[in-house]
Amino acid sequence: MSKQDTDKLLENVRTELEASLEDIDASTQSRITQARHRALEKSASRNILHSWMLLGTVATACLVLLVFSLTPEPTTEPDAMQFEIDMLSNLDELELLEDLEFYEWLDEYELPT
Amino acid sequence: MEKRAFRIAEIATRNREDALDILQDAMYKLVQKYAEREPQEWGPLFQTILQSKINDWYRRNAIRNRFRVWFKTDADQEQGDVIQALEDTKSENPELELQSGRSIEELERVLTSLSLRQQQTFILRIWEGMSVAQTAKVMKCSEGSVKTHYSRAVHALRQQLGVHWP
Repeated sequence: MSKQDTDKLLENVRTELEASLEDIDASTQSRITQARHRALEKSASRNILHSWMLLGTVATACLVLLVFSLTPEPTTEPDAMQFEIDMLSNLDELELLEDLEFYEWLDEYELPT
Repeated sequence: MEKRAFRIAEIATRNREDALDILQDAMYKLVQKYAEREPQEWGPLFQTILQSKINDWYRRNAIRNRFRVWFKTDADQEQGDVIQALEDTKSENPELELQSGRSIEELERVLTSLSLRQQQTFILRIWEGMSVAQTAKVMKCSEGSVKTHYSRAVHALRQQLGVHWP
């Protein structure tokens, strides 16, 4: 078969394939259209689901932040600081603390009076 | 575009329902993954997805057929090969087909007799009008492979259809 014959054959193949599109029956054509709509709907519903999931995640994150910001912080540090201030302001007690071991010993071995 | 894609899938699978499923999956994936791309990219992307889905269908079918052979019962053997029977309905007498003007059936018979890669290459080059480079990209193979597959496909068509077709 010459090159011209081959080109003619390939052109005929293209024409036949193109013509075969017209032979698709109405029922199949309808199903092809439905398939396209279903694909678009499926994608749209997936996008909506993604949007809702994103919205839900953002809302949850905001709620967590809000809860954390409204919860009072633990007060252990100010108490410790207050105790130190009180202790320093009362020098008598400071002496007591400094000689704590002595007073404990005194208490244990009470001197005869 | 979708009608042509359906026909490509139908020729590849020889099954209308499977072709419709493949078409819907391909369209869904295109919309889901590549809707943001430039419109001129959609055609080649869709063909890539479609060919990939057809390849998947072939792999699944090959596995299914292997299991079918393993678990074939005596009753099945008595009934004969179901797949063979299905193929027989397609392979009508070529002369009758030509006489009745059903040249497309003759063409389909030849196309389905090609290997999947040859068939894909031929359809993408001839029907979709893709270049060798574009076809290679869609089929995820080298340009050399595309040329080989195409050449073999054309040779088979020349031999089986002849000068006087259609």
